[in-house]
Amino acid sequence: MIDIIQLAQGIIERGLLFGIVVLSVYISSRLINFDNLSVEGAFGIGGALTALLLKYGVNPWVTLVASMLVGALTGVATGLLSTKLKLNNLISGIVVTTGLFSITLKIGGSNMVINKTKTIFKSLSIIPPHAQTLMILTVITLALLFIITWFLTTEIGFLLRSVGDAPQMLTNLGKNVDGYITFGLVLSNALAALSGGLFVQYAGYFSIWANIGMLIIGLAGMILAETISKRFGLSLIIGSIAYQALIALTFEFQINQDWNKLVTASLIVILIVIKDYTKRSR
Amino acid sequence: MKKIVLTATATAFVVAALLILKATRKQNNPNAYKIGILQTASHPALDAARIGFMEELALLLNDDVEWTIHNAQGTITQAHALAQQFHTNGSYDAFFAIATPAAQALATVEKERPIIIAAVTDPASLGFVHPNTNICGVNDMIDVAGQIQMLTQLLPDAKTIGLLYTSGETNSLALVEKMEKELAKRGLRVQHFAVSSESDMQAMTESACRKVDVLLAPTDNTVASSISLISSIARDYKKPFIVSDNLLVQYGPLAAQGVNYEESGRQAARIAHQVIKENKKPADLRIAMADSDQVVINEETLTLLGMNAPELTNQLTLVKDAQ
Repeated sequence: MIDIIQLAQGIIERGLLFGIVVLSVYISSRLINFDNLSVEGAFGIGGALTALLLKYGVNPWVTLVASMLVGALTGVATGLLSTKLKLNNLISGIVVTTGLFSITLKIGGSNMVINKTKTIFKSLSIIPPHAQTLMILTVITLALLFIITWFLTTEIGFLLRSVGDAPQMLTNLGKNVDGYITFGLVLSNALAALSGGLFVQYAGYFSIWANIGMLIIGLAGMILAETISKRFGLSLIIGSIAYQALIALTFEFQINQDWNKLVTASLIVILIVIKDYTKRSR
Repeated sequence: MKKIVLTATATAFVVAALLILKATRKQNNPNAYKIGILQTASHPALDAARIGFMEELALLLNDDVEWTIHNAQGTITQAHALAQQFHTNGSYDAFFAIATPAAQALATVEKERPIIIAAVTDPASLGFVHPNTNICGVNDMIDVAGQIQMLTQLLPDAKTIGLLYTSGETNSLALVEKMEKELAKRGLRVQHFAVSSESDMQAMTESACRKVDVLLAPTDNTVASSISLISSIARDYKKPFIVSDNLLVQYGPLAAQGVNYEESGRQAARIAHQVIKENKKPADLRIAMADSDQVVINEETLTLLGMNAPELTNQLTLVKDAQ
């Protein structure tokens, strides 16, 4: 009675889509050691811009690039607040997300339906539509993963990675640490905004509330991923898919729905404890 | 690599567990109608719509019905995950979506089986109304002209009306636009007081009370959640406060002529009954207007403002404060 393949497909699709947010959270939290709360704001504005441009008939791929650019700008804002105005990292992120709410509302309104317009998930006519979504999401996410992994092996990528572990080294090399922190945030927020844009095309509408809970999705995915590997890689996407599967499971258990968020919170605590425990015993 | 395989296996187990759980869930009556309910968030109006729907439909189907109730707790991504889960389960005969986000999430994935909606203000703008639609139900668009007429009858001296709502709620915005037109038609001045979240409500209400003669709110989720706060501030400033949800009046506003969400849930149940029992097509049933000609007035607020029960053309109900 229950279509298990379809159910699994939905889980994987969401896992891939939000996997991009996991990449975003990993880059800020792990690579440059900056707990970036502006991820939620970037996700929202990325979605709003994609929705607006789609409405004006812009090519759906172009809208995603535009979303990434506006996301990059929010990264610059967070970076400047933190490095130039010396605001606390958390405050910088919160301030940016709060401010972005108004801009996002101006761009996308509270709700915008884009059902009728062309999306990237309807662009290839040769493949059946239900397989297309999964395929395109897989290609996009893996391509991003591949590009970023390659990028981290370049010199700039290497220096970016040292921001978190050894900022002193960058100073010794005469590099601008603040610049690299901001660059990391640009990357992080561009990814979050891209995910926001993809979600709009995936769901068929934009909602001003859609970004709520994105941080927890990103964090939980990352924590799950770190039980496999601490390094940047495919594990992050697998972590994201595993988290979506866990969410689906808590729904299926049908405990009183009021407990839903507590279950999620407890799950994350348990995972962190397990992760630390396995690390120590190794 | 080994760990990746391990995690993949674990994920597969989770999915398998899902399947088993689903299969072993006890079925009381295999022939009963199965309805999946997706509610956007926990809040009194939406709860009332759900209860009204369930009571009425159980009555109509002689209890020959089973429910699965999911609540997205206000999160859009969660609404989507739940909608998708409903969609993949072939045993449901129909779905009931309460409020816009739940309806939108279900409508995106489920294109075949009927979706009955309630507490959605503007279904047309969401793309729900077209010849092949599988969506029908009850909207909660109120009779704005009637409501404003009630306001002018009740408070003939009012000159400036303050509209209190959330800037991010589609349903509110749709109503606010209509209210503004209707007020302007009667030569009343309008000021907007839009909050972006519940935490701004207190400051915004106080500011509104200082600037206007009457506060007016559409069917707004944030207003509904902070109704006691707004009402008590309005009472302190001795300003009449009119809402659009009849059930809220017992929490302190002066009056409402709007939707009774429990009744709209019942109305939706009668539509659901036509769909699943009489095999009518959702596209033919369309989306009905909720009845909204009843006026509800809070007696205690009325006395506090030094007013008497008015003579109105509509059916009038007086309520006291909820204990």
